[in-house]
Amino acid sequence: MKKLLLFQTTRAVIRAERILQKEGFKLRVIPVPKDISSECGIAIELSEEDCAKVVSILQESGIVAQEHGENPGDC
Amino acid sequence: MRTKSFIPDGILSMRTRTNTYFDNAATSFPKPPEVAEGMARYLNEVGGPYGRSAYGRVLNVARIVEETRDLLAQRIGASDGDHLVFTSNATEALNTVLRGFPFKDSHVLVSPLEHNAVMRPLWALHTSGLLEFDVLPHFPDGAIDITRMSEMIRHNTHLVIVNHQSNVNGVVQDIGRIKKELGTIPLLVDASQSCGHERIDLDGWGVDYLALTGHKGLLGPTGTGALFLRDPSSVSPFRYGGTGSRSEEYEMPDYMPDRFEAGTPNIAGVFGLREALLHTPEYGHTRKEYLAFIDRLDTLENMSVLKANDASRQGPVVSIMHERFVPSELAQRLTSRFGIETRAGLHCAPLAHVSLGTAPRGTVRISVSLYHTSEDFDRVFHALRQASQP
Repeated sequence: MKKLLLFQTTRAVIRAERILQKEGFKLRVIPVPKDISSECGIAIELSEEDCAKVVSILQESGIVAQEHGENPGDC
Repeated sequence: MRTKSFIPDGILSMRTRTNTYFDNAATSFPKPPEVAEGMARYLNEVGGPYGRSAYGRVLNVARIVEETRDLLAQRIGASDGDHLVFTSNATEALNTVLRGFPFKDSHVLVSPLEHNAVMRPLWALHTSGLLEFDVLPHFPDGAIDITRMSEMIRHNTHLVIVNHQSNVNGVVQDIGRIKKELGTIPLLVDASQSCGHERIDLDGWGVDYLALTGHKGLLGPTGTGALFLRDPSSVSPFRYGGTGSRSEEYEMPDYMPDRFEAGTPNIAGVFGLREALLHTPEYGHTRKEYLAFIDRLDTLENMSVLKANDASRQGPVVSIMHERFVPSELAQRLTSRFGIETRAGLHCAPLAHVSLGTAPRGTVRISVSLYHTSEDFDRVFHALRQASQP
């Protein structure tokens, strides 16, 4: 099952993509679905298993990421 | 085949094959060829906006913009690229701080060599009754007398502004020592001239705000610049508008870099700036050759050279004054007779000329590029010697 990671800024998405790809995670950068936010922003899609791991990895680099479902609508 | 020190043919004098452009403090020329190639690549091939959607073209743009931000942060010694925002030039960056800083009954100290990019917004704030300002104590060449700075600090000194490298005589201020002396009083540094030429250690020095431009020492395109803010919440945004984030709200986002990046950025310019950062050419001259050139200028009759008293604090800009010829006349002689391009007048820095005793006449400014060779210096020297004859 896939999960989404939401970010505040484009920069945060690009930094997260760079870090996670370097760490070997399989991911896809996709538009934030309409049901989550009116925002035309960008999200990262990962496996559910990976999603749980990466939030703390990103936090270490000062990147705030939220798993979709934790606080819907806040990106 | 192109080498690192390749100079495009267009800037070379057809007669002498020498670089005649000595107005690099206004804007650098030539640029590494990759700068134009990078801009053309964006305009002709890549295209697309920054951060407004999630299709491949947008992501490619975002990746380049963010890589450039990180390269630039690295270049100025800033560990946190999130706090570095792109602006259209250093003037916009300086205005962002000055118009967004919460001045009220404030006292501001400025260096003696400030440019009008600082003095005009500061004057506007002064005439609005928000602040008073004073010039920091200094030596005859405009170098700040750091040991006497504390005499000027008042209980309401809310900001100190220092021009890192003068665009008139090239004096480079000791930012690390100045910030150490100021302690917690915020310091705004104008690095328009120094960035690309001088080492900048933003984190090590503890600078609070730093404004820079991409088109001078960094050799990037015009229309690019940046502002670093250590505490972004200390300044209100100057520009409001779309950021591609939190679009459902009328309020500007408070997170970085979006807080200060409303509107579509100069993406073509950022592509060019990235190439400039990645392809900095090797120097065509040595430091020793440059300082020897200034010493030779000092030997010219009827001329005085405005430079740093301490050669170790000399940037790639010097000014000259002629006893008889006004600056515009001397500059015109250099151009019409020898094809050498310099700038005459006040260089948008009247305070600097007041501090140096060269107001209102101004000077002829010679600003060098890392592309120049010692042969180019010889040519300017001989041209000046002949141009100064009646």
